[in-house]
Amino acid sequence: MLLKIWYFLIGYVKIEIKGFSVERFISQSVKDGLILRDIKRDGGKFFAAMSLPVYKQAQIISQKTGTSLEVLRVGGLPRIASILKKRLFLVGGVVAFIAGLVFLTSFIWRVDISGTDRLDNSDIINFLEENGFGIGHSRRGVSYRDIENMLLLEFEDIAFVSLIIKGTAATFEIIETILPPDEIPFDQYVDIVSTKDAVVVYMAVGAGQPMFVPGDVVKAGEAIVTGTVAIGSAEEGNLSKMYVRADAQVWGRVYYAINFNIPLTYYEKSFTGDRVSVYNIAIGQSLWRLPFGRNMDFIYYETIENIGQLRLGQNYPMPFGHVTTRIYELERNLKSRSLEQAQHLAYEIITRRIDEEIGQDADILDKQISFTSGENALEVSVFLITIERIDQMQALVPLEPEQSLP
Amino acid sequence: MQALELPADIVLDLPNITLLGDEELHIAGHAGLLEYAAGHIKIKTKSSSVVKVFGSNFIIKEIGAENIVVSGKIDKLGFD
Repeated sequence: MLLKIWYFLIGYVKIEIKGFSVERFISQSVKDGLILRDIKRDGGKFFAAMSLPVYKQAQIISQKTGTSLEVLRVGGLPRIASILKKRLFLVGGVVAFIAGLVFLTSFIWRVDISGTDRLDNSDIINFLEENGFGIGHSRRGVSYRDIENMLLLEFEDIAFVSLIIKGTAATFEIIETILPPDEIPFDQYVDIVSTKDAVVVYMAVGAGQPMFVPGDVVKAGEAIVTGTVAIGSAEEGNLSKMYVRADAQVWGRVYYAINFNIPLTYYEKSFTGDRVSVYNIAIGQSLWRLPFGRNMDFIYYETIENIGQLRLGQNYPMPFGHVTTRIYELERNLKSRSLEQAQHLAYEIITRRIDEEIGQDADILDKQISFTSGENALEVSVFLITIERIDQMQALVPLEPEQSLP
Repeated sequence: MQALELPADIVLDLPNITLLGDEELHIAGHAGLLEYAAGHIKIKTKSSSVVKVFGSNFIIKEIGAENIVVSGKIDKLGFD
């Protein structure tokens, strides 16, 4: 391998040796210190290769030995250099292009953020750009620790952040803080309120003053058990109040009504097979549309955007790329469904809505489903009765402690 | 020479011949190429003997003042 590199650097020439005393030419060349390579006989023809600097010497030996040499190919760096001497503008262009690329690698051209769930990546990117770090900023002299600390101070939801810069791509690996449970502090007075309109079925009160008894109707948000407890007697004139952290478990009978329609005709989308491609060159944040392709005149369509960024290897994204948008034409076909199909679909929707709207721990006591054929639609009515927990703690703001209850 | 354990190829100027399977022949200490035919190659050595290589598809990969490397399908090797 090293020998091949050496021959490339000094240049090489491939020749055909003609004449009747080829062996003599070879032996004489060797005696004179020349090195011949890849000598091959093909029928009556002899081919060989030698380094470019000794070719003139080989020509003299061939004259002495009664052979002649025909140059088949000259290669290597000297040959390339002689070609490039005649094309200075090309060389200058290539050098300027390489210099430009090297210059561009001193900037950040891609910022990736991973690990965020609650945080919005665009907020982080905007904050970084406002503070001098982002796409188009120099990557030299970047203090990783300062940037990480800056993010930790700005965003309370970040527990850990690591900045990794590979080439022209910066990657932030973020671990978000774990949210504390959404609980009312233990020393806070609370009421127990109802989460739903319901009929109270059963109550187990640990602390507080019950406002309802089983069989009563309670509205959502009403206090079922209050933390404001009356003490004393109004008749004796010593009625006062105290505040406690109410504690109770309350079950209620809840009534649900779900109504919706299933249309008996609907539109189904399908691809026609026609598509339009729009090609754009991306330079930085700007897009330049290339004058190819026809204009889109579809009424219904879907688009798929393919974004490609020019990279020098894996770690050096550049501020150039292409954005190809492919627009696929759709057609809408009017379809109809039978009552049986509509009912089947209705059952699927009912199952999904019950899962979404009714608590996991609710026991369904009764479920009545009725279908009515309306105008071009199946009207669906669902009536549900459940037994479920309806209690929820709500912070209580105490009135003046000395104020008596009316 | 045997008593002194001196290498024969240096003291007597004998060629050092290495054969890699039946594909490549290295000769250190040759004195020129005598014949290059389609079916055989004759190489003169410094000890005035002639190494005859029989086979096919010969390519002289490199020939210099000291070494010669012949590759191809080598069937037989002989000396004159």
